[in-house]
Amino acid sequence: MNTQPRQIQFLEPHDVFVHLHTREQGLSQAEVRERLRHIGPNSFEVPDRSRWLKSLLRQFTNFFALLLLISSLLCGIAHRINPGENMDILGWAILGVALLNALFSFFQEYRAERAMAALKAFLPQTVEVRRENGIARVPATEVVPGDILLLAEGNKITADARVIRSESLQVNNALLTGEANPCRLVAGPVAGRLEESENIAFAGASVLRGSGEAVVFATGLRTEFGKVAHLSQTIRRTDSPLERETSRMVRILTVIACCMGLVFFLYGVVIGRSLWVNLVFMMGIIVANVPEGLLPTFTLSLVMGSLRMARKNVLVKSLNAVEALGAVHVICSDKTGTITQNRLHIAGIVDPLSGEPLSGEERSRLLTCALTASEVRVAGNDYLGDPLDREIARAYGENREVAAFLQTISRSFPFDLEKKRAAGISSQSGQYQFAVKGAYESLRPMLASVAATGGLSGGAKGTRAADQVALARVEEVAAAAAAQGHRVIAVASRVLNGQEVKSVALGTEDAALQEQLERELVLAGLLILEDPVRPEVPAAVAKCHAAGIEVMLITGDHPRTAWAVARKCGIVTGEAEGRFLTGDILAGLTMQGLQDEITRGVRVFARSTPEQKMKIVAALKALEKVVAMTGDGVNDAPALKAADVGIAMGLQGTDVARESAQIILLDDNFASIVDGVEEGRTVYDNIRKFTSYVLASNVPEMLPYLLFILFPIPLALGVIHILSIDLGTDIVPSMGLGQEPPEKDVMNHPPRSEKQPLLSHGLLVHSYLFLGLLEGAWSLFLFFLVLVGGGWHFGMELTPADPLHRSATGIALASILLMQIGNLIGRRSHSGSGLDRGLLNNFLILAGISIQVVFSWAVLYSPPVQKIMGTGPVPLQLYGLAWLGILVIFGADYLRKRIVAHRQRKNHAAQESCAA
Amino acid sequence: MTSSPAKPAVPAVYLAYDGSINADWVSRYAIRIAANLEDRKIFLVHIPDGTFTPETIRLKIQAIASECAAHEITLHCDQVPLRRSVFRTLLEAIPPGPESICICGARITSRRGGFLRGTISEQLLEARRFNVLAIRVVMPGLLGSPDDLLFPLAGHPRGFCTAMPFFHLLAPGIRNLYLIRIMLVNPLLLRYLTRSQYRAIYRRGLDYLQLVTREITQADAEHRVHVDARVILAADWVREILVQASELRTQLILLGATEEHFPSSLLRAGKIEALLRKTPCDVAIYRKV
Repeated sequence: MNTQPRQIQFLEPHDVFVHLHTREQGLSQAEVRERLRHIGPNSFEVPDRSRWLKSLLRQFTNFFALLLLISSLLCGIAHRINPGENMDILGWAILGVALLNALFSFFQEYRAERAMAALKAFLPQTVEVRRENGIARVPATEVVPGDILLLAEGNKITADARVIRSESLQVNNALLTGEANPCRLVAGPVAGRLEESENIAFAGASVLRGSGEAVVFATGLRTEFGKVAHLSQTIRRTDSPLERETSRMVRILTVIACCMGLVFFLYGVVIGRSLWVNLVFMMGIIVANVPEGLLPTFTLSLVMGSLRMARKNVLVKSLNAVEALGAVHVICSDKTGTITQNRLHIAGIVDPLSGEPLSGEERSRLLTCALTASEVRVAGNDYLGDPLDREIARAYGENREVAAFLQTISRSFPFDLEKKRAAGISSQSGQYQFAVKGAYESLRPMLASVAATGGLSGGAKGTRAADQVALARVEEVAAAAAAQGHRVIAVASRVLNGQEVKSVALGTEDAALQEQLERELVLAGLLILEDPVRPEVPAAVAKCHAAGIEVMLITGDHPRTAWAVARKCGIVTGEAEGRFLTGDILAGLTMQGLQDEITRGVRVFARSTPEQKMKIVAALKALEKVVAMTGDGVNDAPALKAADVGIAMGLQGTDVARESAQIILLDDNFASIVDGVEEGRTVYDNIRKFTSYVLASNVPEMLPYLLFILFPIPLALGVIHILSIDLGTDIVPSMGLGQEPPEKDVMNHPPRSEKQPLLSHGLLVHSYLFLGLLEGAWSLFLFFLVLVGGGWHFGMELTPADPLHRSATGIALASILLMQIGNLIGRRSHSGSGLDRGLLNNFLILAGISIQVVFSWAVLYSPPVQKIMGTGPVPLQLYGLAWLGILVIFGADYLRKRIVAHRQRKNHAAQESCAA
Repeated sequence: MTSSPAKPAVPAVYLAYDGSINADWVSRYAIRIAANLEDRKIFLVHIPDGTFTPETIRLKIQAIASECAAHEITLHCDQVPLRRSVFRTLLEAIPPGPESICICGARITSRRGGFLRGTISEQLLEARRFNVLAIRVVMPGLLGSPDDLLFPLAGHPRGFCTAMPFFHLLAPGIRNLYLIRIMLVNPLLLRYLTRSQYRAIYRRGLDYLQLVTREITQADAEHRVHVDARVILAADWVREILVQASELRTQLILLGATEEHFPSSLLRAGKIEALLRKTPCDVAIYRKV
């Protein structure tokens, strides 16, 4: 059996040199060069020279970008064929949109680099190492395995290293663990996992106290910190639900457009039209089918949504996150500061035996003892010091003068992480009192008696011996409080005898004195502390549940605390058994096992590490859930990037977390996330509204081409007319629809299913075959009314320059523009008329209507516009008929809504009667 | 897919030692592997090529010998004079056949060279004369005893059987084995996969992993390594392996050398080179004869 040390943490300090092929005097320059060549520099950046180019090119390979580029190219070709129609300008405009979109997305990816810049701030530029029997200050990037790091107070550690000498070394590992408590480093061997060993100094940590030496065994991306840095740089966020929907929509529309274009191109070839004419019409059909203005409007809608979110303390860094937040199925939240207020509050001061609240003199005495064992300073009306000590001072200060009492404290023994307690000595009226406060289990061995106001003491005030029964009773009281999610601090004291007072006066060394005094203590009582749940959180969680969103609590706290908080805010109900997982269990679970646990109903993860958030995200994603994850620490960054929506804390978050997230909560409040979800859902609803609005006008744009190819009739609309609608008059009304306030039931239905895509069958039928056909029929009716009124007959050829043709084109365009007003009002509500939402409360809708009215008039009666658009005037009566189109489309759509609502009511009633 | 193949009777560990710091670190793997074999022997083969002085080599081999002694391993040191080339000399020095396991290093030998490409280790892998394990050590603190192993699977029709001998060698020290099956999808198509297409590919990967997991648990009943399996749809397998290695905090990546032929092999060799260069932990490339 192999009994030799397994890894570096198991070794005795003197063996470390041999195993890392180094020596006490340090490496030679030749050895450093060899190792540097083999291992590479101690750098935390993922080397990829062409990453910016690749990132930029990627922005042009998505369907949307390709479609815009093709549209732009088609405009260019159209301009070459028919230079008079200013198609080149439109081509440049579309190209501009494509470039802007690509650059915007590129900028989003560029943010990852900023996360790396924030990470770099945790690392030193130069370090002191022992080399060739001397001390050298070298660039941190040149540190190699085998180098001996010299550690001193204030130093930042640049590589993972095994400690070989420790003079009271204490480091801050918050960067890796998320816990700000100082960690003691030892030089001796430790049996356990490398990343949990007390004799390893990790890169990114800083030395708080003491000095020492450590031998480097991992550098750069191979350090624990390097792995976080690597993930922060490498993980690419998956496409947001909206991006997937948009891709799908663009793909469908492109296929429809290209197929129709190709079919009619071939038809033209068969019937013997010239190649150039066929090409122009093919492009016309494609351009008519492609909603060029739709996708830029998406972006504008998301921008406006992000501005509204910012007003709710939700700062959006990535636009896609606006809608993604509305699509989430699960919100994984931290506890401290997000669900709770991140402040300690004394919820109770209780008798250690009965658990009853203390009052009067007992309460005062306990607070006096607790303050004796605290280290606070008075600063104006507030106190400086540890949060617990400050809270004790506040409670003491409710009835008495804190500053005066602090004068009586002669010695303080600061909180010791190992001992889990603090102590102090105060003197009043010539009597010296020694007091200790800390975890009950750390005080228990020193107790001689327990103060009691009732309970086991049989109702008599006084003390009773700290026998097994009494101690077990205290433990029960403490456990009951902990089960409620409270932190329990025991407070004990005793009066010092003459000999002990002399020791105090002689200035005996702290550690020795504390050891001497920590005996025969009387347990005065228990302080019950809590971090209160934010008052708005239970309602926000209930809102999530009503909206079909699961909330998961992920915390490093004790399971009891986590469970109690989860119950208080409504994340879970009922009993705890089997409904939470601890970090240890989570670590042992396979991915499939974790998925099973989540499916079984686990909603609380206690004693978990930030690294495990990644595993939870992966399991939820494998279950096809859209996940939002909160985080604040450096090591939360990978999980924030892996989630569909990464949410960083604005107040207590690190720069790295903020740079890695898509959303920053300015107030760290869980309730703000829920407000953001509501806003996200509204944005999606609004996108559906304006998608339907925009698609409706595609049919009247396309019908003239179909009829022109099939029959000997003039072409009602040219490409410029189509683009003047798609990239002109439809934009502002679409933006107006994007600004609509939420529908009443937006948070009363589950997150949308992927089976209900943005471009659903229903939406296509409604937009194309109902609204679109109505617009097409009415505009073509007016077109032919003008033509026939002007003497045209079936089969007669008209040139586009013919005044009759120009007038007919003008009325066709004007009627589409005006009918879009009726369509716009109808789109404002799913079930209502649209007028019920008020016309004056949305400025952009008003502006959009005005633009359409003015432009419909201008194409008919304004000579400069007539000249550009190739249109001509019509009699006012005909223009009045075009206005009638508004009522036609609005009325028909309203009628449809009523019929649908009636059917739904009928179905609902039938279902209810069936159920009854 | 075959059912649990038997362990090779008595594998003989040959350490191809060139005197470099990587070779020193790789020797730890050889020692750990030999320590778990019945006959506890290592055959160190060194071919002096003038890179290091004889004295340096003598001291280094002495250090390895004392470490072997600490592990109760017998070290047979064989300094073979250089003949036509180091590669040819090694081929002659190591007996061919599946019983021989050659452990060598993957390290940069020239300014423009790769960690594997153009090295003697690559030639040994391609020679297919004996089992080869080429290792790049970047975390010498592991002392050749990784706790967590990441095993990316390419979907070999024979399942895990080609990897099994190497897994057996490392298994005694392994606590967690992470199997990942990366289902490669064209980068242009990846973002346009429908949910049902995604599920179908994922299912295929998962089925394969379940078979392999069963194979491993049957073959490794003795050590009871904790096995976790993941399926990932991606366009770039190297990137995914690196991400998984960082995320899972694995300490060793065990990867099979390509069994494809030119030009696929060339492409894969380039990918392996990128993996070796950017790896967050030690990497071992194996090939079974």
